[in-house]
Amino acid sequence: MKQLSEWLSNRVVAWYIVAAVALLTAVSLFQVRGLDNEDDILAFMPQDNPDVRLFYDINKRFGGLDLALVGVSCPDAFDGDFLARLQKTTEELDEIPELGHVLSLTNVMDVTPDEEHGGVVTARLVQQPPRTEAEKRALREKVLSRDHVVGNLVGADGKAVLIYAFLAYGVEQRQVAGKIRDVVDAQLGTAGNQLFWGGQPFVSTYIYDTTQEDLRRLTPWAVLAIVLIMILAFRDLVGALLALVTTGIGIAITLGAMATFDVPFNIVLSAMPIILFAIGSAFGIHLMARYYVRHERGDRKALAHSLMGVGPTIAAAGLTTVVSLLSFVFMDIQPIRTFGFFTALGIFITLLLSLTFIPAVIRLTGLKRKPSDSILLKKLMVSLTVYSQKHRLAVGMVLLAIAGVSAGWISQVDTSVDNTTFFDAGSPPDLSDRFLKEQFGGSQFVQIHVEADMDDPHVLREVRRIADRIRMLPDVSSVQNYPDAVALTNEAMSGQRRIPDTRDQVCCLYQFLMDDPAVNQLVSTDRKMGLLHVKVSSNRSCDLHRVLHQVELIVSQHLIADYRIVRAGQPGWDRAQERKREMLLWRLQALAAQYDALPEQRDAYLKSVRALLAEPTPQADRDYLVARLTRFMRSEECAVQLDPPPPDGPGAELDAPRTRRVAEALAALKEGAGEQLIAESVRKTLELTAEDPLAEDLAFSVVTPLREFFKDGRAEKRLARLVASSGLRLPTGQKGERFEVALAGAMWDLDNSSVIEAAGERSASKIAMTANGLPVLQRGLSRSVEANQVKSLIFALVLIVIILAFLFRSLWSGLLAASPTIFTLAVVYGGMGMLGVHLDIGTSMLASIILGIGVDYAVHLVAAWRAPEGGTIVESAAAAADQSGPAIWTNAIMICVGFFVLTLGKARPLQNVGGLTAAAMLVAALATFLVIPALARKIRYRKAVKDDPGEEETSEAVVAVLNNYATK
Amino acid sequence: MSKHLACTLLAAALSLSAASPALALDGEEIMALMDKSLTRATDQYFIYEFVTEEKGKEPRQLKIEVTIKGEKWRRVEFLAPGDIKGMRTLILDTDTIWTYMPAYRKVRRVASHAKAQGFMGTALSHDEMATVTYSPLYKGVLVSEDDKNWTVLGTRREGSGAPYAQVRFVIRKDCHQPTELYYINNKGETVKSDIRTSFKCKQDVCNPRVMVVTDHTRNDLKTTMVQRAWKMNTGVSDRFFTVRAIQRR
Repeated sequence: MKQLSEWLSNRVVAWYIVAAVALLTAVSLFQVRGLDNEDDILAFMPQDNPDVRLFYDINKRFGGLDLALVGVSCPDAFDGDFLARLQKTTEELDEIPELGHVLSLTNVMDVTPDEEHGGVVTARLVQQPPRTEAEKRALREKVLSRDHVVGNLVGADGKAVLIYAFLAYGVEQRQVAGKIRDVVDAQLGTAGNQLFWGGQPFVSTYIYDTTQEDLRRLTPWAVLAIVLIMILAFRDLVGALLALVTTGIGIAITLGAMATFDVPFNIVLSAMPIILFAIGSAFGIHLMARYYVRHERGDRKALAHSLMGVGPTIAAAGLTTVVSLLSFVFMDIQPIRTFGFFTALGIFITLLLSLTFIPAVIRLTGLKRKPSDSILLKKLMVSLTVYSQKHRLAVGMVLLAIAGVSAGWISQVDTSVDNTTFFDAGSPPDLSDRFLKEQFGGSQFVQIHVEADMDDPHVLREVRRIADRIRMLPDVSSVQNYPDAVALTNEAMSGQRRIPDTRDQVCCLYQFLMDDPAVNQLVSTDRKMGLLHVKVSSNRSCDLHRVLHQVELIVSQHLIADYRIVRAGQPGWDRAQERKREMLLWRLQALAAQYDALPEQRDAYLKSVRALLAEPTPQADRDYLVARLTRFMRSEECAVQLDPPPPDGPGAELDAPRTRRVAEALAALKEGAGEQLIAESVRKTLELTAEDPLAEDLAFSVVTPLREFFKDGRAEKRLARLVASSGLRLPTGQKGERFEVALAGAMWDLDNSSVIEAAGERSASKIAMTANGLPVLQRGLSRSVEANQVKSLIFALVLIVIILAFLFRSLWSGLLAASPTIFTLAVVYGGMGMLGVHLDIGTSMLASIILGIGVDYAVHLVAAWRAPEGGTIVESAAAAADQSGPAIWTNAIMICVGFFVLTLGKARPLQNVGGLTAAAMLVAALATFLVIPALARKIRYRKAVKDDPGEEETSEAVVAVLNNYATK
Repeated sequence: MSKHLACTLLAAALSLSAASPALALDGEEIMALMDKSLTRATDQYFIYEFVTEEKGKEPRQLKIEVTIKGEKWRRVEFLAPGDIKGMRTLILDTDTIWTYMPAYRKVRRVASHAKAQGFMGTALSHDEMATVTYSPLYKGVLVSEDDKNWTVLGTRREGSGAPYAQVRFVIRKDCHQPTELYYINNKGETVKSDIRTSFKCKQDVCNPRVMVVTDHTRNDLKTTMVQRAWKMNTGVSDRFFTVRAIQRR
């Protein structure tokens, strides 16, 4: 500092410094024009976290799990005009390249049996918007009977629809969310409709946009408030402007450096101007305040002496802040690392400018002002400090008690990342959450990643058993899974809604499923991996994490990880039969829950179902078999027609005497009859010659359906018993019919001749399941934030103590200077625990910011802690408070007001950070004047500076307070 | 007469007629010529290999045997991959498919009204697989021409049920075969393209040996179809196109 002050005494050097700064600023401003902006929300995810990595791996493999949900509340979802608009919306969304797949009521497929010709009809559920009232009523009845559509794509009351837009992997959420909004607004944003934007892309975009908007809107006000306080406190417009210009230059050079090194600007860096104005301007203010005092007292080398006197303290205070902000580079969140590094750089540049540029300007302009003298504030600070020093035991006990209580509350700080804490009740995301919960059972999903042979029907049944157990958990609305998709397609291709019996059949069905984009979200193209999508009705992180925990428990306790297949007749078949019945029990429960048919008396229901499943195998009715066979042989699926088709087309059972006779003959055969036996029966019944190929053709055509009809007949009988005896609350209408179809399909599984069971040892046949999805991502983020917090805090604290120890030439002195800030941290984090403020990305940055700024106050107080030769600690305390009190409080109030302005916006993250930083600055300033006097044991902590003409005279405030104590 | 000579003579004759100013054709006439060239054979037999490439995924292969008779009847047998080997489908009209599934040992009749869906994981839709002639679906307007090709913009005919708003055809003047098809949506954006190359002619019938279809709405999903065998006018029986026939090879 001495060398610097000597250089600055030379006017030429001062000119060089001013010119160099001006040139650097101009170059920086030129560079800033090329500064890029990074808007990618995903950049805030910690890329090294294992949970986050797994999420991205799965996201990539399944082509995108990010789901944007658009809810539309409308007067009538079946209105022709509305459906036409919905159709157009869906088509336009489907053409957005960043969307992998879009699903709505207008493009969902529907498969129905073709009663007239046989087989099935596949078509869109809504083929075209209705034109008449009658068409509308018919469509309404049809759509509301589809249980997989109601509550997923249309509300149960027909007054809401939901559009699912799956984002392609790796796209920018904000950009896509904007495109979706544009399309939907244009088509469906008409009067009478209300739009709700849900899912992570919209919620993240809302949080990001409101934060950015608040920062853009509030930053000028925060800076203005800081400037006004500065001018009011120091009553020096020129000095305040010089400090501000210096900080402005610091910001310009920092941004120029970012542009030069191609580092994009991000939303966190938007807070940099407020932080730099609040902290950086204090450096110049401290120097000028000291310079004015010395100049007023006639010191001819006021500038040099001020630099030597307060320069090291300013440098130490600035470096502690730099170190605190640099601690962010240990975080695994890239934008925070960028923020930490470049804000630290900004502080460092401002510090350098305060110690070079400002003295140079003073040297060149001969700037001088009368120092401000706030006697009242000084008296108050001196009184407080002296009181704390004189009653250090009592004060210490109180502070210790406060710290203890705060420490207790710190353990209550919720570290879970919860989106709902980022927006207020009544805000658009909150309204969307409520709408999606009421109409569609929620908008949050837990995904379960499955690694197994997804072509094996036994594996599919085991996966579905786990899905059924999860489906029964509270707060779980539905579980979408590949086995269900296979069962539905099996119904279309074979007639039974169940997982087929053989691997070949599962493989065959996949060929019909692979073009459905929704299926690509359930199984990988090589069928070695799958995903279960668990829809959770609650958006609160505690509920999501509870569901996540329960899901992980079910997987760890109930999944058969190493399995083997037991076939009928093999050893252990009896035990395997028991397991088969247990699997079916869960299936029946899950189906009943899905159709809201579970009886109140759950235990009695389970008991009766268990008894029913253990009953002897019933036989199919002969009449039932004859009817089914006749219908099949009259359909277009049968290769041979035994009777001429009726005038209005095939399918009718009337006037088909040959068909009827063959059906009766085949129904009399033993179950499992082969082609040869069937052919002989046909030949005998129709009196065909051995050469007539009709018998073989018919036998080939009918052999598989006949076996299925036997099983269908048994399933029907079991179903009738179940409905009659278990107390199920059967839904009415088409929904009830579909429920019965689902139950009958499940009943088929009792006839399965092979069952999966635990291998009892390590096996090559494995199933692995891992919970994943947004809640896991958030858990990963929470863990990262916690780890970051600890890492950055330790780094900052250790380096700060080292810097302070170096400044005061003593480790204990360094610890003394750090102690008020540690106390402040305890109080602030305790307050967060008490008020329920979550530790998130924003609030996790608080510790280092508080540490960096708060420790400055202690540095200034400890540096000014001194008494004349032979003086007492009380005198030291009084002198320190007198000299540093006004500057400390001015700075604390500046930062407090600057950050408080941020609480006036809509963005909850800014409100939290702004409010807590504002409060922390007041606590830190107050703690400085209480903790240090209570702990200080020396009359001075910093050596006198050589060549310094001496300490200032004892001030009026010190004299008054000390006299007051002396007279007591 | 060698195949090569026949093809050259055919091309020369067609080129002469097309090049004559007195015979300037409008878009509708050109599309009619194209449709005629696509349906000139009584029946045709092909083996195609499909390779479908999707970003970030392993290429998928498919091998099929196709027999076509007239403008509507077609029978497809899947030869690979093993999962679906032996599966046979029969199409007698554009709305109904009979599928024989060996894994189930039964025939299933599927009446489909959703033809825009993809075909077996390829970039093609059922619609494109089923479409043989374009004039009934699109009204053609000649956009430009040079000495080798016409470019015709087909716009969806009212009530035709054509899946795209427009299709831009580049049609060879010599053999009237489309070499490039660009499917365009309501906003005028090209959503799918079909590039046909390596044409081979037999008598007056030509076919591309390589077709590359790219779906631009599905992350540029690309399917390359390579013709491995081609026979024409084999006299295949009508009985080959029955439910009875597809369940018994």
